[in-house]
Amino acid sequence: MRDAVARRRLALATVGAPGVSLSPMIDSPASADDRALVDAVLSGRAGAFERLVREYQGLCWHVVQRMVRHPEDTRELCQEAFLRVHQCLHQYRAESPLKSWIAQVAYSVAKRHLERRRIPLAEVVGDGDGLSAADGVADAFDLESAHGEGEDAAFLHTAIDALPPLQRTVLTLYHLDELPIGEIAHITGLAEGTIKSHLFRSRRQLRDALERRIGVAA
Amino acid sequence: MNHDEHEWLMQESALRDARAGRAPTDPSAAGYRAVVDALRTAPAPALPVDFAVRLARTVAAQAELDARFERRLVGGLVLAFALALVVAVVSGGGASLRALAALVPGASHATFNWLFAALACVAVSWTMGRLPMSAGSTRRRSDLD
Repeated sequence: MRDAVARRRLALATVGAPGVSLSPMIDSPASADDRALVDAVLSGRAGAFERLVREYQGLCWHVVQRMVRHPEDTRELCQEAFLRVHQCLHQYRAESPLKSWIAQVAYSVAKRHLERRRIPLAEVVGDGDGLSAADGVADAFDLESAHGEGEDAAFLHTAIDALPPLQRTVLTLYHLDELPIGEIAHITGLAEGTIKSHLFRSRRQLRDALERRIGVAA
Repeated sequence: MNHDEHEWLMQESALRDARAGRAPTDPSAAGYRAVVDALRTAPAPALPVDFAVRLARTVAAQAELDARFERRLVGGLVLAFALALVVAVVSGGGASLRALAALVPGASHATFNWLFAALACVAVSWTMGRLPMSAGSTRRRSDLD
């Protein structure tokens, strides 16, 4: 019961989270390389912006793709994010790593896209039974044809896709892009405790779904 | 340590093992290792290989368009100002010139006429000099593209 109340509180806090501001608030400052690259772009040096895009396009793709899941939309939103980066780069104060600032812009662009389409960003916990979209994947996945480690991985990818956009993005930033929890909190505009809670619950959901699948297959 | 804290440590242990590329140090965290390995795989497909080049080209073209618009805007404003000056001089210039000539000792009305004629010549030559120069620079830039 207490767990259900805590989860409902978390869902409310997440849904009602304020929008992403472009002002950096975390402690780790930009590196000398970041500053040099930003200066080069701002002074219009040939090839500098292309280098910046090349450096961070993977990160931008991870954030946007995990949020919207549609390749065509993702490409367009990545382009929009980098155009916004180019437009607002003079606002970058080098108080946070450039990587984090660009991820913040990408997250903000993807979040606005989801809001326009009225797609909920985070899971709304209603009945407190602990079930989520990821838990239902075991039923939808073709268990007859799914055996072995490769199939486990495929199953997990399907389960990750079934998570709500915010959870998918937080997991990706933490595991794939290896960003610390503080930076993820800065990017998403959520508290560090909320990020930890999302990580904990999502990983447990995925592990439980996998164990149920293995149990059913056996 | 409560159950959730223990679970969190198992998750983090699986992540550390995966990052170090070693087998699970905690056998009870094996389920989490599979989850962590899946999460560390990049979502496919990626952006096109020429994404950065094309985007940089778009930004450069947009900047050129903005600069051209700004140049035209400044040119239009200068022209409007010159026309307004001409209208002002034609409508009430005679009286102003006579008042100005009276203020400067030894200067006649004709002196001011010559002075303004010289200034007009300088302004016209400067304007004529600017027009072919901006057209030429645009041509040179488009050749490079």
